[in-house]
Amino acid sequence: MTLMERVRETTVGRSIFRIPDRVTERDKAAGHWASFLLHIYPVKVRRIELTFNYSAFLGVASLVLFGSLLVSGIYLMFFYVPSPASAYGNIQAIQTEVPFGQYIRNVHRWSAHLMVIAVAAHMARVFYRGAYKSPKEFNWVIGVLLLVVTLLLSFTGYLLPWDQLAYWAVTVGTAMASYVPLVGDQVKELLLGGPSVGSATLVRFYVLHVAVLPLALVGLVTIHLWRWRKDSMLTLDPDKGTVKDVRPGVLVSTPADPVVTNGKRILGVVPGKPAAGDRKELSDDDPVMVWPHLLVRHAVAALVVLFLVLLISLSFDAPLKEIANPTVTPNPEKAPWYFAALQELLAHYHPLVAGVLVPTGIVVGLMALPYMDRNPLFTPQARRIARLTFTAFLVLWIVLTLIGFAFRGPNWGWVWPWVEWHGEL
Amino acid sequence: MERRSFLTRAWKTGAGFLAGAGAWTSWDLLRPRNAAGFNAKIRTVSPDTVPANTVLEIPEARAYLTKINDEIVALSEVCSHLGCRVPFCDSSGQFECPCHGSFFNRAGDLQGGPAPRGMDRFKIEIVDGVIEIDTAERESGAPPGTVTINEPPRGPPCTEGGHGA
Repeated sequence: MTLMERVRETTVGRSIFRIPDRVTERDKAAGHWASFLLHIYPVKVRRIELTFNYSAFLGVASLVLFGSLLVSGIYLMFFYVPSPASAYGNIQAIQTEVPFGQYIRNVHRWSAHLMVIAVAAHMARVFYRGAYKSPKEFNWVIGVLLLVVTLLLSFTGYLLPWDQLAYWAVTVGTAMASYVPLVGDQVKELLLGGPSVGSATLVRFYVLHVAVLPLALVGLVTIHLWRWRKDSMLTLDPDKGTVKDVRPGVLVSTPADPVVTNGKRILGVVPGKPAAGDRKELSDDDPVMVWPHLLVRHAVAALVVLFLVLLISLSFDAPLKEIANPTVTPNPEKAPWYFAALQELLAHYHPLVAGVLVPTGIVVGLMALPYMDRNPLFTPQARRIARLTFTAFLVLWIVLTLIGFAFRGPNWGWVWPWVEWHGEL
Repeated sequence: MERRSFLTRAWKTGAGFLAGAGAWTSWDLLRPRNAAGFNAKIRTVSPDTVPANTVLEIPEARAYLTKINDEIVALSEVCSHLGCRVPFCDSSGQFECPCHGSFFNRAGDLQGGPAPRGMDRFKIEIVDGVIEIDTAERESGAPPGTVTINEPPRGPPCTEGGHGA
């Protein structure tokens, strides 16, 4: 008897776990549907969903990074007051006086960047898999909203150190809002709390960053996971629903649940064929228990992500420029890297196009994608046009981002990255 | 109308009113009041000290004073594109925006880059021999193609370092 089994059998254990005895397949599955924490997972998934190639575990990576951001963010909140008089000094104190302060700030900064990458990559992976198709169209829409909230969280957090990098990136970013037709100026002033970035802006961004947007993200993630659970159960083949406990690749006969023969339940050992069927190779679509197979893989993925964050945070310090100065714009002034493509477009096209229509078009277009793509097939060969179009946009965006981030110098002129200037993270 | 559908419609209308009231309250609550110190009249210098070949920065007003065709103008130093501060480059005699590369001549006419119009101007008044810049009275910059003065760049641009790089 394992330790956990002993714990579950105690009086206290029996009060905590709704299904303390886990003998049959049904009991084990009940571990999911009877437990609050585990019922965010489906009970079973198709076997292919266990593989790295299927998802690269990017969804779970995004969630783990969000957890890392919550924890490190809470630590930072103890040492930070959102006022222009104190913000910059607080960050300096976090870096120099607070034990492990620099490390925690690094974790927060790098997790934020990694989360943007993980969420975007998750989305691309889902696209290439065709996983936005029926019945998962709406969950893709929620995913697009999650990408937007992730970017907004990153952007609002960008202002909080109140350094030159923060001040001017937010000046430019919010100025784009003023080009929204009709309500642009009001929206901009509502965001800034005044005509330009100032103390009201810092408080507004702080409230958005630590309360409004995280709550929105948690709410959306809840729906996202719930829909994932519901939709993945729909994709299970009902005819294959009788498959018992499984190790990847091989079906292992296990003691069967009570079998009904001639209207009578047989509860004892009887000679004859095992009720669970013969050993057989599992196909990709056969259902397997999420617990333990998927859960163990997610735990490993989480450890890998956290180890990566640890490694980066120990190796590189988050940047902090001079204190914000409204009378001096740094040259070059660069947006955070995930907006570098937009900044590059802004240097060529009217702000209404590059700052309003393009970003809105991207978000609306992504949301509309599952409703526009009527092709019911999933194989790469059957989705040539969709894959080609998406890849073209993705490559264009990556190239624009690279140009804006690495190839632009003073006065937004062209510079080779090895010469002098580069973007700041 | 049936009692049931009346009640359904009534609670939905009520919820609609509540949402409207919530939106109105939030809007009014969060709408910025005029910030102190800005949107105010700022007393600067005597008209005689305003140069005709370069510009004089008035940091409190976030503006430049210069003489264009014997007339004093106050140009807003906030770029008409996306709000960066536009520094004046002494070597070229032009304004060069560091953010997206817009540039303007000494009169604030758009010479190139992505800005949608020239530099904005503030209304000025001469009170007791001192120029007063009214930062609340902002006049949008001239549309692209406007030629207030014909001053081609007099030298190389300030792309290297210089203004706060």
